[in-house]
Amino acid sequence: MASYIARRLLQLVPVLLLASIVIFGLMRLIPGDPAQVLAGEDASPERIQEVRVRLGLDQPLPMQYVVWLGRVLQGDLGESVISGQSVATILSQKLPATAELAVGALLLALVVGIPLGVTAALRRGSGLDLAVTAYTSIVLGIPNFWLGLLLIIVFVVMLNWLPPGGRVPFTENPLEAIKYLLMPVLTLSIRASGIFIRFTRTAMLEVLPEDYVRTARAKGLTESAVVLRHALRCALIPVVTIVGLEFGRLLAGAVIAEQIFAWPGVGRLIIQSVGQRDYAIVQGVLLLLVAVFVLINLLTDLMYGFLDPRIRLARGR
Amino acid sequence: MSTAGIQVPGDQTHGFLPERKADSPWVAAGKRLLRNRAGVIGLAGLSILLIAALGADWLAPFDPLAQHARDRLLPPGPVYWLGTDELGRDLLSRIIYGARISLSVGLISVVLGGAVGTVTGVVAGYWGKNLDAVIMRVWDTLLAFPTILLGVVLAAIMGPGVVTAAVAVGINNIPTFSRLTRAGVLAEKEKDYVTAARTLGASDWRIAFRHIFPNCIPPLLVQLALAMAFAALLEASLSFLGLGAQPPEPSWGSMLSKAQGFLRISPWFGIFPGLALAILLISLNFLSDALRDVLDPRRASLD
Repeated sequence: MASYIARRLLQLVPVLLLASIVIFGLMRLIPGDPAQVLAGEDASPERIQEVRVRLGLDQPLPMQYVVWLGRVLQGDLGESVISGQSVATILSQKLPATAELAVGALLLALVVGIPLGVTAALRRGSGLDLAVTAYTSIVLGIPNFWLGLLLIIVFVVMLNWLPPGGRVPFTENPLEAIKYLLMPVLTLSIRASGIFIRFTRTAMLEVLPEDYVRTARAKGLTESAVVLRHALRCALIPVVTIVGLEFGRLLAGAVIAEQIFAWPGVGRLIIQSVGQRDYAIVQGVLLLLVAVFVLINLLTDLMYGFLDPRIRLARGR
Repeated sequence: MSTAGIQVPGDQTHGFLPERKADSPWVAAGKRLLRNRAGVIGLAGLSILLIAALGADWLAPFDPLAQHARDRLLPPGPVYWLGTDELGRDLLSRIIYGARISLSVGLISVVLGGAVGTVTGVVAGYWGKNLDAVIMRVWDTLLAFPTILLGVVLAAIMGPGVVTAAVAVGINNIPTFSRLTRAGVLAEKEKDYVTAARTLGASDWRIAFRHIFPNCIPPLLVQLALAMAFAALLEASLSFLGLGAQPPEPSWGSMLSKAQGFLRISPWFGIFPGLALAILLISLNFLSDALRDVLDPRRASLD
């Protein structure tokens, strides 16, 4: 297992390097001269040149990249042009809010998705199965920002039960925090719940006719033991991959939910920063999310190998 | 279905050739699609929106940009069937014209992603080795960029707009098409017909694109419908964030973004454009499900 992890970690290096080059390149493609911006509107050409030298922008691009990468690796992501704060500090303040949203949405989607998927598979063709399948088809076709607006119409405008937006940290007041969390989490999780149902159901349907499930039944195990301990355990292997992928998507999808519900996370931050042309922050958010995305994919692969020894061994050869 | 090999009086084919040509696999698949409930629903929904997009000039009751100052934020009624927006523009007309934006962004991005994706997929799968490793690592990297963020950055570079949205979605479609094509090519290239073509002296280029590739198309068609749905959703999302279609262009996403400020006064403004988008997405999802069943009968048994 250790060599498997090491090998997978090594494979990450080229992807992360390539990603850093892409981000560096994209940032350089954005029109406008950072030196000009920093020096101010009416700065003399000499002054702009001075700033350019100070920022290292007079160096050839590959050189700039190496210097930049060195700083990034030390956690120096530059400073915000607007507030002057270090980007790393701003990110560390905003990330918990986004993580809260994404983790909440993931948990909700799992709690809804896996039991419904299993039940639908067990009662294949029943009314419940049809209802669950219809739910997935519809849910996958509902744009999440539209769902967000519908939730506001129902719970804020019509019923006046929930606050329209904002965030209260869990540590301050858990009950209030949940009230604020409810609509954004629902908005974000509904698509993932549909995907989890679909994958769990298909995986269960594939596993249920297998010999070992019949053997477990023949041994006289209770139905719940057969389903939960034998069938579901194997069925969950492909589901794990999807959970990893979806978690990455939830983090990115938070951009929309945060925008609708004025949720102070990194998603709202990046949109705001694009509007303000505060590109150090845009770059910081991109680096952070891409790194997290790649790490989640790695963890997913490792989980996969852990759950199914055949994968680990086959790839070891 | 076919009457192949049945002797009929006066038959000139001596029983060796079918009297009537059997359906080609594609025609047969098309017929199965029309018998599939999800397929019919998907095709119907898509046709309605396609007609709206193509015939917008005749179908829309009003000019989508015409502002009626006295009729702002009206509820649905006899004159404005779906009500009006904050500038007094007819919602129904704007939704009809909005279909153009959604469908054309979907189409452009799928063509872009599909073309680059399939060609690189065939190259990676057929010629393999180092080229394969490089191409796949590049796509791995691209997949590490959350789509919506890629759109955000591209909007910063190219300026917000419909073209930006289409390019962002197109780029994001490349890896999936490429991987699917590569997987198909890898499975096909060991088969006997490839050896046969090679023995006959066909060039690598010809074998890869004329013999192998056509056999890899079915899963790509399923992906095509999914990618269209994804593209329409992403265009709307970017427009919702203010980074896609710009005012006064009637994009469903930007309409919803505007509606957000008026949910208390006119909730329908926030409902109808989203409904149109949902119809498009659900139709495309149904269509892709149906295509999968029709093109790969083995899988169908599970759903």
